[in-house]
Amino acid sequence: MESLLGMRDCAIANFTRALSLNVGDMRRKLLHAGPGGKVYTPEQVLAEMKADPPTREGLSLLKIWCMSDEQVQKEIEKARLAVTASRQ
Amino acid sequence: MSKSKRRSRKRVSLLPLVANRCDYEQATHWGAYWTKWGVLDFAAGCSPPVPTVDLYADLATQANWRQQIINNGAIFVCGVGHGNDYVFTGQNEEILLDVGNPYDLTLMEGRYGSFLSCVFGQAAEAFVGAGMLGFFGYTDTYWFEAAIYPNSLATPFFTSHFTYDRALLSGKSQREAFDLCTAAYNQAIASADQTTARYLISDRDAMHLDARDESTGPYKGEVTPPPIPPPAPSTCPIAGAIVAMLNFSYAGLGRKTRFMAVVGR
Repeated sequence: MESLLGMRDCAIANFTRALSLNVGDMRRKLLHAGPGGKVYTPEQVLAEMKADPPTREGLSLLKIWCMSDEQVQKEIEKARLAVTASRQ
Repeated sequence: MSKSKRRSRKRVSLLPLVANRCDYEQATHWGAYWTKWGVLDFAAGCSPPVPTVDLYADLATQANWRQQIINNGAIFVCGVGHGNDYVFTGQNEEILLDVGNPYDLTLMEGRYGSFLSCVFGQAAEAFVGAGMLGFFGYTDTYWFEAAIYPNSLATPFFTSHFTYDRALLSGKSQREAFDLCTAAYNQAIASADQTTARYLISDRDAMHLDARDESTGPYKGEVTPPPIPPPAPSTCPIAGAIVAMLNFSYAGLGRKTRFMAVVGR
């Protein structure tokens, strides 16, 4: 949940757009859409999730979009290294 | 190996596979297309050809599934369908396998499976514990991107997944197939943009194999793959177009399948 606070605006926009169609109410509860919108603290998010758990799809999306761009880039680099290693 | 032994091996009668290709809404429509590409077409090109039973659309019922597996003595079951922790489904979400049904646990005894669905990988341990020889699936929601049916953005997702099935059909062991499938996802991730990579990473990390003996496979050592595997359908870059995001999700009887759209990539 920590990384929720670190999400960039584009990720938040994508996430909330997808989430709004998927989980509906969770969008309002977790994040306010758009750049500069208020982001809940991890404690608030956890409390909300306990009170009204999102669907499995919602959690899956949450996990996907809570990865920072830097984390994704690291995974891409790791994958490239694995591909290179397998060719040697 | 002597020539006579090689010849006699070619004469081995292979046990068939049964493929679920339900096709009744968007996610399964894509999945059905790619299952034909990934499994049925490939099996036909193997030497000797692997016999197949294609349960397409309305044929993907529980009665047919059970009958075809038993009557044909299928060694391998596979295909696409919505799923959850407990069930793998066919046409219109008709349950094909239910981990809570003793009949289904017995049905899978002595067989191998590969299931392209959400979450059904969670049931792997129970099936293998009951005598299934191997179970490949996904323990989380399976995501893929889609644009213009049936190829384009979906290609890296489906080609990665079906690397597993194709490896088994090529005579590889389950462990070898799993490693090749992981490598295929890595290859796709390595050449993907940030958005696509997120979903591919999620799918790769949800892969799950449970087997009684990973060094075995349904056609291990018995099949020669096609000399040149059929190419994947050509891709169609569509930067800036609408991108559909589907998941293979089946969260329980009577609950609607979810469909999401992310606009403006």
